[in-house]
Amino acid sequence: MSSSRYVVLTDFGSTYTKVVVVDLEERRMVMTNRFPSTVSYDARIGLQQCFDAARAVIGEECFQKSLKLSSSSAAGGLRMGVVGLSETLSAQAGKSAAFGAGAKILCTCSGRLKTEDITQLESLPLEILLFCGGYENSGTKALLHNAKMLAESSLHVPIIYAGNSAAAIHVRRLLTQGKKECYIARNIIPNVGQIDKTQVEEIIREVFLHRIINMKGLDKVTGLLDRMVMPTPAAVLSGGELLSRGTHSQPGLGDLMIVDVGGATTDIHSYAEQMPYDGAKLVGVPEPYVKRTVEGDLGMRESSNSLCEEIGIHRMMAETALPQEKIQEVISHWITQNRDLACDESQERVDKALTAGAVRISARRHAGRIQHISSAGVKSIQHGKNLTSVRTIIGTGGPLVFSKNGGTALRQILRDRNQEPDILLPEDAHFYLDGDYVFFAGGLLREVDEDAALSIMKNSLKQI
Amino acid sequence: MNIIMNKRFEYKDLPDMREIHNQIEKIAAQTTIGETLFFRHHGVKSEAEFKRKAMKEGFISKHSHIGWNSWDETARNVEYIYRELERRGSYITRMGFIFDWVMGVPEEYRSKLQPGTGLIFKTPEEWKAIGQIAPIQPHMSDHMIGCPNALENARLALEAGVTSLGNVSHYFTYEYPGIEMERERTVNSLLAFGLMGKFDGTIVHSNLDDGYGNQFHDLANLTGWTMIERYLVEELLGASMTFSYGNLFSDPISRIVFNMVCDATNVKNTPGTMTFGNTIDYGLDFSKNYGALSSFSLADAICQRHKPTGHAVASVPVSEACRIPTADEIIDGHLCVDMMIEKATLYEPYVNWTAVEAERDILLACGRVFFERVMNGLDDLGVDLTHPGEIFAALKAIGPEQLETNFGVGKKEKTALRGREPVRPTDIIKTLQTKQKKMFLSAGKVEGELAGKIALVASTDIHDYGKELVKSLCNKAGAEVFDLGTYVTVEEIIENLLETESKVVIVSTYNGIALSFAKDLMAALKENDMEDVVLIMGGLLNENLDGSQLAVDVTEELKALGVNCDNQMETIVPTIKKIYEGTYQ
Repeated sequence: MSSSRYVVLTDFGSTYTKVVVVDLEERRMVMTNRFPSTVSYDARIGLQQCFDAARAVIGEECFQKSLKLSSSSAAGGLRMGVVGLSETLSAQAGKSAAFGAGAKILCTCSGRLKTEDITQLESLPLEILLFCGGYENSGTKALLHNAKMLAESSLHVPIIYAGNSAAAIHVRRLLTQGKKECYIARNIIPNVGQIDKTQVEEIIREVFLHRIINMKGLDKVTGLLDRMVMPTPAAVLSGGELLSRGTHSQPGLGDLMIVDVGGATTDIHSYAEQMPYDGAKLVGVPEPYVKRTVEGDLGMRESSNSLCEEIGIHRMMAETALPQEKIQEVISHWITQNRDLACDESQERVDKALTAGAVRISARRHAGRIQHISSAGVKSIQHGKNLTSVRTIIGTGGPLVFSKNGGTALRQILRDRNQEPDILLPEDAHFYLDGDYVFFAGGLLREVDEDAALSIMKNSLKQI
Repeated sequence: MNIIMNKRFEYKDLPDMREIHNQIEKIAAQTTIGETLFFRHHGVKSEAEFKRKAMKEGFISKHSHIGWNSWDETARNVEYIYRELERRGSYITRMGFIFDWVMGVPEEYRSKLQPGTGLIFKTPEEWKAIGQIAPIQPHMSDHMIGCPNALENARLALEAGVTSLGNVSHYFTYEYPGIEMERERTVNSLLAFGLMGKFDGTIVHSNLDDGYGNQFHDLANLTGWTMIERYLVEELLGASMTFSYGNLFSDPISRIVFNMVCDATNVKNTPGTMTFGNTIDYGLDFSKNYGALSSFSLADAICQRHKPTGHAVASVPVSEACRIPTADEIIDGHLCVDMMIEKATLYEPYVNWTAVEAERDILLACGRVFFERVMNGLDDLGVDLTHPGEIFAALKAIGPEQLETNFGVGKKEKTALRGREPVRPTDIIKTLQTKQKKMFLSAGKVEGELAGKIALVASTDIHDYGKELVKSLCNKAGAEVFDLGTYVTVEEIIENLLETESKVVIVSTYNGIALSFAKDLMAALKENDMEDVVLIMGGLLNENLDGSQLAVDVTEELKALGVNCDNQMETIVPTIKKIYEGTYQ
């Protein structure tokens, strides 16, 4: 518990710098506000605006005493690549750790790296590369091959190695010889059926906070804060976990999903214990209670073109009642003018269809599925996470929170058991919106006062 | 502690115990215990009351399990057995009726299951009729109170006058494929156990051999397990319980020891139901089976003479292993058991009871350690130790193998089957240990032969003893062994080969899919440029080919695919060595 009464929580986003002030004694949010982002030229300006707004409400003295924590997703968030050996084991575990640490994954490679893989990795604006593979005491040839390929590449990003520890010393030597910044973490898959991603997530956050954040123009604000705590998605993820599990004194909401539709991406967070569906055999890396996925091709503006393609132009035409040319005209506009809001009926209709599509498709990519097999004893195999028990679905992000159609879009998550018997999504749920956009604040505040954090998140939910 | 929880539902969402107890009170107020012919005949209100009197008088109960699938045949045979035994100066006190598995689920779900050959009751009248055929007390334990329909079954059985009901152990092992009702199973089992706790003379029965008893390797851990089940049913739910065992106990003295172990923690002095016959030693030779019947029933009778616990001595007809026994075969068995009961009195004073008690005390001391370790482990896992539903579900999510591996009391030993040397192995494990010893002997000196070599082991079905034996041998030879578990899929093997770079996959198979599995795996190896990986298959190398009902041997077809089918433990280490040295042909 903090000794100061107030906590000032700020978030450096790409569009806005946001502030939430919480009164710990009364466990309530006393103000929230947002100001256009100034990170691209001087992050201090936006932060000072937030601080001024906070001072105006709680007074100078309380403000000075208050604890000031912040998260950041500015300048594209944290962009990572993952290299593993098998798709469903080490690469999947690596993706799970990167998403869990709040990153976006621009590329995943598995198996022995080829020149084309390296070319692709080099072409992307990566900030961290996570390199994993192999159980403890298993083979190291493919790992050393991959280490050599990475060492010889022109990649200039920190590489975190979280694979078989038998290869760690050689991997470090190869990468250091290749002038790469190298961190060694505990093996992310130490043995069959095990996943250990705590340390690698911590290292990702540390690298982000101490190294990358400075390159994003945020080094100037760190002196004004008590702590820059974590990337925004990690804060939101942590806030969601608290909302689901609750505290010792307050119950949580149980199994839930959070959907964040943005301009470039759609994030899905789910909080549920992994369960086999109808006695299915679970395969692949164990699914964590807290799971986050980010769909980089499903966004409302920068990636509206690929989203539209995924939805299918015929469905878009049916849902908008607009001709193909008109839809393409709106999408072309969104791609170039990605800060614009819909200002006529055609644009509103396209936005509505895009939002619904982003929610529908990303939820289905996030959720597990059943595969039927014909083997005595096992009738079905479950790949991924069973979310049929989720009864609470929360929308966040502008396109859901500020739209009239948030509820309709969120309902796209539900499955029809007859039409989609093998997708492990819920058939019914209660829907809410994060009206005050406080999940990032909930995640930051959780580190100080769990009960206050849970209260402000619960109070911010608006049922739809 | 690294435990994988295979949860079937979120047990933290179970109703709290106050709510469960309120519901139990309400149901108990609407339930009355019926009266069977047996109760009227002996002037008692429950089987427990009869047994307490019998124990005082030195009378030993006798039991048979029967499984005819029509009511008419069942009723006719039960009456005939009673009358015929009476006519020949013998007796039977209780009968276990085998119910169909559809009885384990609520009526609205029964159409999803293919009915088997057991009895199916649809109305309360049908339930009540079971106690009115002859003065033999019915016992119900299959698909009764450890299943999704537990509460309804318990209520109807009590109303019919059946006061001994099982099975706690079935909660952990009996499954209803395609019907996922674990939450309902848990809640209804708690209600059923709690309901029985509201009536004096009722006995919650648990046949350990049907549950984790046949999956544990160490009797010491099984002893601890009885303490766990007793804690759940007696301390937390207020019922009285007893344990049954015997199917898998071949050694007559271990039967006596284990009876005394269970009796030592029976603080409520609940009479036992029965000790099951030893069916490990039963085969197709009826003469030998008579020997087995005499051996176990004599031990059980001596045990009851020495310290009566109420457990009935069971008669297992000698034809049991090859067909559903006839009524006359059941009668023959009882006449044989009568002779053992008579002679037991003569043996009892000459048994070395000090040695038996010493064995009992070892199991009890080690069992307590297992109990404490499991409870502490559950606490660490966040399980509420005052909520029996959470404990039941968590124990099922952990499973017997992880329970023994993480909390077992045996000494840690890398080459032991579960990484621990059992304090007192079960009879099945003793047989396996003998096999393992023979295997180690025939394999010769293997230490260090596979140092630095990697091997994947897996099984295509539930049978994992073959896999465990191979694993222990490879471990002894110094290999790094990665165990992919049971019901492995081809995709899992490929993904694990990518992670481990193993050059060998050893697959144990018993479920008649050897050829199709091998074909799929060989194709996947080719597709993934892993043609240098060698597949070794062992077990039962057969499959139903061309729509035939009988599985035929497919060894030659497997060899043609390039699969190693030596199927001999002693060649495994040299074969793996050759594979890694590049000299394997």
